[in-house]
Amino acid sequence: MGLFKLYKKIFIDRNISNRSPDLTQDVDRSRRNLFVNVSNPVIAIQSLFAVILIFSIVLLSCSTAISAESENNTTKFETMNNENSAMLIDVTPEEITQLIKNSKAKATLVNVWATWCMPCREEFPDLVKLQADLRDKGFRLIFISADFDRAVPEAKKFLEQQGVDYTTYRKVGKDMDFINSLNPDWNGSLPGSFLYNEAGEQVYFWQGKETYEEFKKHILPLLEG
Amino acid sequence: MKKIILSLVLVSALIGGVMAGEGIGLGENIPMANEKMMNIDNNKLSIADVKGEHGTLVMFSCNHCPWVKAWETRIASICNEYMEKGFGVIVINSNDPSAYEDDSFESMVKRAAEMGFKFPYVVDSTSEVAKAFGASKTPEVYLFNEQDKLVYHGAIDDNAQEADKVENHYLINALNSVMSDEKPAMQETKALGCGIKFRS
Repeated sequence: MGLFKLYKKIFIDRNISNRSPDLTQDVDRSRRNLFVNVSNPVIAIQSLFAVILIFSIVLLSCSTAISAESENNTTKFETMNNENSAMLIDVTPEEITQLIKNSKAKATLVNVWATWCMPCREEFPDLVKLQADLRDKGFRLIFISADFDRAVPEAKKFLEQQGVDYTTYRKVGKDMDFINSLNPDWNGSLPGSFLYNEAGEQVYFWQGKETYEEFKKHILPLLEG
Repeated sequence: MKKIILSLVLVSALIGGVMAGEGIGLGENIPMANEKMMNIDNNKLSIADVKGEHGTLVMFSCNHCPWVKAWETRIASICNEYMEKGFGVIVINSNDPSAYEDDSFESMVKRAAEMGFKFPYVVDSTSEVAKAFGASKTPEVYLFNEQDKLVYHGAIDDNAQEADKVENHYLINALNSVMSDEKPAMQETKALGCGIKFRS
């Protein structure tokens, strides 16, 4: 309706004032025949311009709408990504045992870390790279945070900074049960890393920070075996 | 597979052996008992200086560690209470303050005042005392009986984060046992904690 008023103001009203009196009586008819009346070249050209103008406005509106929708979709996608990335699920020692048992990977490395633990933070990028490099060969990395409740936001932030977009865990429950569920010989120092074979048997463990090469050296035989 | 399992066993044994060789075991004496360390009151004192009639509680701790912070109220309350009951108590910070600013001497003085420490909080300025004990974490507890023999080593209790959900008060139980001239039922426990940042 607004477009028609605009058109009317620019073209029809001006045409009316420019036309001969006999035509002024046919304003309604002119409106009705706006798109088909080509007998008058002036009106035809003006009508063509009007069509182009309206079409352009419609196109512009559609374009804006599509753009806005696209923007909304991007936001939604990013939100979904944020929701799905670097999840930190609380697990008890019993659940950790089940997690390892059900891993099904040829080699599973459990790494216990915490945001306050500097060696853990230093080791972290190597582990992320390990997962990226060996995931397709049957390797699975399970991160378990030993952070307290109040440090969960910081832990999630750190995971995102490290590019971790898969599920990770946080230990809850008693410390000794947790330690013993991973290895009774572990003294609880962080970081702690525990390597399991396809059968879920622990074949190696490390107390303290290790390197990409050290981990890989022990993981590869399990993937190739 | 057998080779892998064997190597695990060997490595575990090796690690266990190395760890056992580095630190003190149950029944052993207090190492470096006469080493003088700077206290927060600017006086130097040794573990031998604080020995109590029932025994001596040595705790490796610090300021920055979240695990210490989680236990800190309990640390202050247990140490204050059992010092009054006749135990010698000393809390040792072996961390390199260049790694954690919050572990500086000034921060120790401040924290002790805030938490109401009535016991010495000293600086292990070379980290050698921690190494002699084989301590690797904060907090880490060593309880010696009146004969200076180690009778308990490990954690304060079984739940750092939630004091109201503690089921096993390891340290309190051990202190009470020593007061009663009994051997603690649980003599060694493990706990997660921050690794000691040894001075180089």
